[in-house]
This record gives sequence, structure tokens and C-alpha cells, in this order.
Amino acid sequence: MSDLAQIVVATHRDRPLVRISGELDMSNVPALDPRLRAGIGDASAAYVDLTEVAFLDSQALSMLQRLADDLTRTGTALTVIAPPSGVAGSLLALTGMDRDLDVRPTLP
Amino acid sequence: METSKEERLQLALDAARLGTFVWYADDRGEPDERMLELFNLPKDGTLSLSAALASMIHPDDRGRYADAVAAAFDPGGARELREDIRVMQSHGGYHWVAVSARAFFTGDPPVPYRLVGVAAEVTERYEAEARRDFLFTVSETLRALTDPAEIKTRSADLLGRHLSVSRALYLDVTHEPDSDYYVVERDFHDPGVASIAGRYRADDFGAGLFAEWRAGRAITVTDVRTDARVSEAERLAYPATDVRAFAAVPLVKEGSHVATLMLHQSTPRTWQPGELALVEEVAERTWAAVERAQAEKELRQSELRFREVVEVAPQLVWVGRCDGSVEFANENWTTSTGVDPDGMDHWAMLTAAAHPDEAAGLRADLARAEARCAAFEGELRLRQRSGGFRWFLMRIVPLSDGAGSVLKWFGVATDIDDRRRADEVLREEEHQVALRLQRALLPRAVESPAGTAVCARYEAGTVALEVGGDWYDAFALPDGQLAITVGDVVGHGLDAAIAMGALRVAMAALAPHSAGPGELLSQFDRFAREVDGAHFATACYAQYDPASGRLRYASAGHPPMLVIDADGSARWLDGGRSGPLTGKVDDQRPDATDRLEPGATLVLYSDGLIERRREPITVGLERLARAAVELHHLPVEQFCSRLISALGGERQRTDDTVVLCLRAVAQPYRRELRADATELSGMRRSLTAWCAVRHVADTTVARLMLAVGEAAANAIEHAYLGQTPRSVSVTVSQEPDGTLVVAIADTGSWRSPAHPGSDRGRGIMIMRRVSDTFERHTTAGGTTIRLRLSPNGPAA
Repeated sequence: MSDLAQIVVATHRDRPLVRISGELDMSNVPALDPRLRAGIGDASAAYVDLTEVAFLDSQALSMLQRLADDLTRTGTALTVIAPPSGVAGSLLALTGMDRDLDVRPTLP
Repeated sequence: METSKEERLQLALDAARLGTFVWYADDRGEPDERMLELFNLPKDGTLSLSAALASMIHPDDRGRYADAVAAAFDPGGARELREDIRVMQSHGGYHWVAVSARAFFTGDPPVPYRLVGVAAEVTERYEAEARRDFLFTVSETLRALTDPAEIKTRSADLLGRHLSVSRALYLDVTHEPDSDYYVVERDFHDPGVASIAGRYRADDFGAGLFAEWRAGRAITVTDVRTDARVSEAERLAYPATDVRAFAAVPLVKEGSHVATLMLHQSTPRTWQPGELALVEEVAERTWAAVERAQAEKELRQSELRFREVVEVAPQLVWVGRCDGSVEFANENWTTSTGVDPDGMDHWAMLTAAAHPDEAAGLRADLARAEARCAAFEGELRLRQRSGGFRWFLMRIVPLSDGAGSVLKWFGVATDIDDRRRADEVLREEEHQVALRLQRALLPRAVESPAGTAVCARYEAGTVALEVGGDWYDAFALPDGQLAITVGDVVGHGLDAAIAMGALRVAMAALAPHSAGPGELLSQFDRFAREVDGAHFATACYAQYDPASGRLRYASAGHPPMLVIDADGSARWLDGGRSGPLTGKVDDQRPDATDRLEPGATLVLYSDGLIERRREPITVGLERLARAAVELHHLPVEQFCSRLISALGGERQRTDDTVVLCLRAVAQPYRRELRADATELSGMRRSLTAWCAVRHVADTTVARLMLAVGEAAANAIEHAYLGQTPRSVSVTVSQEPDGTLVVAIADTGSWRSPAHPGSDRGRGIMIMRRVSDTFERHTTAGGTTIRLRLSPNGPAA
């Protein structure tokens, strides 16, 4: 894995909080995906914070979509943190994904 | 021989024609002989004072005289007597006699004793006074009259009564082919005689008498029966008109007998010299009055005609008096302007009707005309009662008397609104023609060769006919350099536009053959000699080599070119300077060298951009530099437009303005990526750096990263499946308006078309949404994706 992106896992309100920063593209998404899933583990609810993402492309969006779909099947609630003015927030809005996902501007 | 005192006194009294007397209180009188004559008294013995008073003194004067005597005999009074009294004469008339006397008293208490005095005739003095009074009355009476016929009648009437004649009349002489005629309109006559008003043939009267009239000599006849000058026929005719005596004073003007003032008496009458003199004096005054009345009547009639004429005239006409009041304003004035002249000052009346923009100027002009007694003429707008304003040509002329002082001001205003509007249309048309010509003579669009972004803006002056002689041009030289120029011909209008067109073409023709800017301007100057209107034109010229960033430039009397460097700081190019075009072949003009780094902008302009009235040029230059620094972050087209609008402001531009901007840009972004995902982040970094130099906005950069990222990722992922990976090329260039043109090309063959919902589908959606246009061309040789991202395109 390149050092384009960093992942930090923490806990927020007794839920796992996965913070991703840096750039996400096809070069590092395949490596990031398992680390993201590991960070969430088998919790019943989790936060993924994309506030600090500087770039992401459609591959990263697909990774996020697949993750959300999988968690829905297991009954896990996923909340994505992305301010609308940020890189991730604006791309989620541009692609309409903000309607399918639970996107919040800040951590509750 | 010795003369006694008494004899000497008598001589003195005789010389003074003074009578002396002594009246005693007991009514005895001792008048001397002269006194007796003066009082028309019998010379036999003494006479009582009371008897004399009763008989000889005019009844109106008797009481006054008796009172005066009583006062003189009052011992407590002045004891003197001074009275003028009328005394009856033997012929029935009265003489005026002045009496001076002193009272003497005897005893204590004093008792009146006698009155000693002298008396003298003062009739002449009284007659002179009466004559003066009468003439004064005549003048006053006539002065109030305006009708010539009435003047003649009243004058005859006054004279007739004053001299107690039977008849008094004026006869006017009319000259007709067969004879002169005497015309009597009206006459004064006493009740005893009839009027003789009528028309008489002059030849029917005695030739002898009337020859005197024609010669201007007065005639007096005491008795027609006995006067030898009267013919027998006349003698027989006169009784029919009750004429026994007459006096006639003729008026001769310019050798022609025109009128006679005539007095008739039905009894013989000896005309006294004083009477004749009076008649002549009255005649004189009457003629003067008649002439004055005639002139006034003619003036009134001509004024009447004047008013009749001006009431039907289409002009506005008015007459102002010296005291400022309006003597007259025609109906047109009021109906047209709606300004009621009643009670107005005639100057104020005009300014009240004038357009607010012109009222103050008009007031000053009129004050000047009034002060100099000079005519005023001007074109101005007058208020219309129907609303709005119309153009008038106004002329105001002073009417002077012979001595040069102004009597009246005569004003006329002619409606020239239609003509003015036609002129304005004509001017506007010429303006439009000049504008079209100038536009035709200026380049349609300027080229932006690779590595440059060039933009020019031209704004015509907004004032009619102020199309100027500004030009600009940008063209490629054979060696790949870009030539840019801005110039300015002196003057405005069609001629300036034509000269400008010739100079622009000359510049473009000469430039490829010149060794450099200085030599070019020297050649250009020689050419300009042959171009009408090119004298003192100014021009600046620069050559830019996009490959090296080298700039060579020169200026012929033109304001300095401005450079805004990539870091946003401003500097002036003040080398390569020489004077305006004069057509004189002199030493080669100098040029200078500079550099434009990518991101720097060179600004050429005409003085319309920096010049403002009543402002030093340095202020305009500073303003330009400030605005350019402030706007430099904008794409060059916006930079150019905003610069011209920021400096033009809201004010009315009287001069035209040219701005030509050259921005040095690095070559387009080109990168060959290996078909490997790890290439993407490096590409993003280098492209971001490329954008920074070009002042691409952050939001546009973000859109560009998404679009290019998706396109490149697609190519890397799909183009070479099952094949030997080759490269993916990424090209981004910037157009002058800031639009980014993107091309991502591969040489592979894609496995299958994209289907919605897949990763690739989402990537294509992203590309479409962040771009203004999205095209994909697939051939056997590969696929190219073309995108355009404008600065104001879809939001990221």
C-alpha cells in the first residue's frame, strides 16, 4: 500500500470510527478496503469519517457503496461523515450517493 | 442855467412815466397831470378818492384797493400801499396801473393825515404774463391730445376765446392738379356767426393776398371794405361769411404752403402787434403738436401693423422695455411656452422658459448682451406647454434711439426643432458609419499562438462623432513570434478611422521584414508621411517569443506598456522610447528587451484608458496599475474586459479606448502515463502545479482532477486488458477565456461498453457532471476522451 491515504480507527459513542485522510484512487482502494472493513469489525453501528479526504474517485465511491450494501445485509448501521463543501461531500452529492447513504456533515 | 430841485424831480418822473399824487384823509386829492392821464380823470379840479374808485377802477379790483388804502391808514400797520389795479381807459379797455404810496399821520395818538405816492402803467408786463399763461395753457392742452384734427380744433378754440374773435380756424392746404384746396375740418365761432367748415378752391380767393401766404408771410386786415389789398370780388364775398377783419398766419414747409391759422372778426379790428405775435406763436405750437400727433399716430399704426403681423407669424415674438418689463409678447409665445409674460421681467421670462440645463448659461449670455447693448443669438431648448422641450433659434436685438441708448429689446425665437433633430440623426448616422468603418478596419479576432493567451477589447467613445483613431493588432511573425501593437491617431471621426486603418495594415505589412521593433517603428514613421492624418500618431509594438519568453518592444510616443508578473506585481516597460510619428527620417528608433515568465501579463492600451480631464497622467497610470494587479487572477479575457470597465467607470467616454493583453502561458500540459494506477497521483500533482501558474480557480482544479482521474483510470483499467500495456496520454490546455481543454488518449481496445451502475458507469457520470462537454472517440487505433471545463461550468 502506498502512503497516499491513511486510516485511523477509533471509538466514538461506543461505535467504531474509521477516519480516512489523503487521496483515494484505483491505486490504493484495493488495499484500503479490507482495512476499512477490519476497522468496523462486527459492530452493530459504525462511523466512516471522510472529512480529511483530499481526493477520491469512482473506485473509492464503489468501495464505499459495496461496504454500505454489505453492512445493510448484516444489519449494521453505517454513518458517513463528510461536510458538503468538502471533497468527499461534494462528490457524494454530485453522484447522488448522499441520498442512499447516511451522510452527516459532522460527527454527532 | 440852474435847474431847481423841483424841476429835476419832474424830469425824472417824466422819464419814468410816473404819475404822483397826494390824497388827504378828508378825500381831497392832488394828482399831477400824468396821474390824471393814467387814471383817465378829468383835468378840472380835485376829485374825491371814493368817486375815482367808483368810476375808474375795474370792478374786480375796487374792493382790494379800498382794503389796501384802509390798511395803509392803520397806524399800527406797515403804513404803506402797493397794489396793481386795472383802470378804465377812454376807448373802453383797461390799463394795469401799479400804485405805491406811503401814509402820513399827525398827533398822538396818530391820526391818518395823507397818502403820498406814485403810479405807473404796467399793462405790458401783465399782458406778457397773460400771454405766457395762455401759451402754457395751449401747450398743456395740446400735449394731452393725440388726434391731429382735435389739436387743431382745440387750438383754434383757445385762441379764438383768448382774443375774443368771431371765428378761428385752421385750414389745411391740399395740392391738387387743377388748384390748391383749403380744407377746414372744424372752426371756432362765436354764437353770432356761422361755421365755415368745408372745402374751398384756393383760386377762388384773391391771388394777391394768398401769394403772401404762400411766401410764408402773415396777413392782417383791419377792414375788408377799405383794405386796398382786398379785391372787389372778395369785398363782395366777405359779408356772406361775416368777415370784416382777419388775421392769417401761414405754415410753409419745404417751400410749400401747407396750412394757415386764421382769425375772423365780424367788425373792423385793428390787430395789435402783440396779438399777431401770439397768433404766430400759437400756430407754431399747434403745428408742432400736430406733427407730433401725426408721428405718434403713424407709430401706433405701424405698431398695430407690427402686432398684426407678429400675431400671425409662426415665431415667438416679444418686446422688452428698458426697465425690464415686457411691453409685448405675441400669442404664440404664451401658447407655445406656457410662460405668462404678465408682470414678468422680459429676461426672466426667457430663462423661465429655457431648459433647466441651459437656463444658467442663457441668463449669463443675456446679462452680457444687456450690459453691452449688443444683440444675442443662440440655439436653445424652450419649454413647451404641451410638455417637453423644443429647439429654438433665439435672436434678441436692441432698438436704439439716435443717441445710442437702448429703447427696447426686440426678440424672436424660431422653432428649429425639426432641423436640430434631423442634424442629430445625421450626426448619429455618421457616428455609426465611422464606428462600422473602424470595426471593419480593426482585426476581427486576435490570434493566441501556443504559449500565449491574447485578448483585445475596443470601446468606442460614446459621444457622437467621437469615433477615434485607436487601433490594435496581434499577428504571428514568420519565425513563430507573436507581434502585438496598439496605436492612436490624433483626432476623431471618419478621417481618423481611415488613417488608423492605413497604419494598422502598414504595421502588419512591415513587421515581418523588420529586424526588430525599433527598426519597424522607423520604417513605420517613414510610411506614415504618406498617410493623411497620421502626423503625431503614437504607437507601441512588441514581439514575444513563447518558446523562450523573450520580449522585444519599442514605443513611439505611446504611454508605457504595463507588465503584471506571475507573482502579481506590476512594472512599466520604460525602455525603447522615442517620439510620436512625425514623418521625419531620423536616427533609428531604439528598442528594448524584457522577459515574460509564464503567468505574466503584458498590457498595451490607448490613452483613453488612463486619461481623464483635469487629472495628471500619472494618476491615470497608477489607477491602471492598481486595477491590473487586482484583476490579474482572472483569465485573460475577463481580465481585459474588467480592466476596461473598471477604468471606464460610469462616466461618459469622450475618447475611444483599446486594451490588448498578452498573457504568457506555459505550453499545454502533456503527460504520458504508464498504464498503471500508481501513475495517477503523480499526474494529479503535476497537473495541479500547471493549473496554479494559469490562475485556474480551486473549484475548477477539483473538477479537473475528478474528470482527468476518471478518464485516466478508465484507460489504465480497461484499455489494455489482455494486451501488452502501453501508455495513456493526458493533454490539458487553457483557452484565453480560461476554459480547460482535456484529452486522454489510449491506444488499446476496450473490452466492452460501459453499463450503468458499474464502477465505470459512475466514473463516466462524474466526467459528464463536472465537464461542459464530454466526448469519446473510439477508433481501431484507440480511444480518446475529450472534455471541456469552463471557469463557469457545472459546479464540482
